[in-house]
Amino acid sequence: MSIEPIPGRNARLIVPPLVHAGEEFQVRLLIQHPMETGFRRDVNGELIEINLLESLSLDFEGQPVFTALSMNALTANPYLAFVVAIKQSGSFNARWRDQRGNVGSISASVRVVAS
Amino acid sequence: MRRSNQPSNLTRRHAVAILATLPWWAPALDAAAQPASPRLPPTPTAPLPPLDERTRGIKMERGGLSLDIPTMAETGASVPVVLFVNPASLGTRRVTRLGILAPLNPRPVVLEIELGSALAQARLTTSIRLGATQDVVGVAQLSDGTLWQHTVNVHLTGSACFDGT
Repeated sequence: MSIEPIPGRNARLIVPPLVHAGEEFQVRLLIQHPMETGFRRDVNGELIEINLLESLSLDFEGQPVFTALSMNALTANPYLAFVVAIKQSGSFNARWRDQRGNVGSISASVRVVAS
Repeated sequence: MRRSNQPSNLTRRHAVAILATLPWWAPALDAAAQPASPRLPPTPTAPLPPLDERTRGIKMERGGLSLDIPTMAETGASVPVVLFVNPASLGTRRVTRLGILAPLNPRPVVLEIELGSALAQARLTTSIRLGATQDVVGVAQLSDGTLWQHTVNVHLTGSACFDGT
């Protein structure tokens, strides 16, 4: 039996380290997760149990960036990117949970420099 | 004929048996059909019905919404998507939600996302799964309740439903 990482524990939140105040930049979130749809079968022909992300949200210092309400057909290892602008330095924080109860989170900080 | 005798022998007992089990498994089927209901975190607005029910039978303008998706994809397992709302067409309104519908997928609501106040643009980049060649619908909901849609036909050469990834 192969050793697999716990789904959703590996993730990347990619932001630029330095930005100007009010400058628009991209926040990219990549989560390592199988996003099992429940429609696939394994080598023995048995249906693989469904395991999708059931909640996912990203905020900046408590200010919401996005909240996913439904993620039925994101790809395995879901990737989401948004364009944001911030006034002050701070950190982005993403939190998620899948249908088996695995939870994960990741944060990344951005420093605002004088423009 | 023999067949005509059967109902009188079978109906009552079978009907009772079926009715007795019905309330037990009917909700379970409903729950199985919509497995990805979000529980955490709580949505800031009142709960709404699924996006495909909200948009059913409604005539929606394209407005400032654009759905950028390849018209032909080699596999449905991963199709890149960009949903973008042109800020010039918004006026004083803001975009509250973005969604993607794939009517021929086993679960038609591909993605629905509530946009937060930290966003600079209503632009969402992601990749989705598609089960068949179909019209993919991007939907944007504005703060005044207006729904905009942009539909793109995506031709698939392979389905995500039977793919190993």
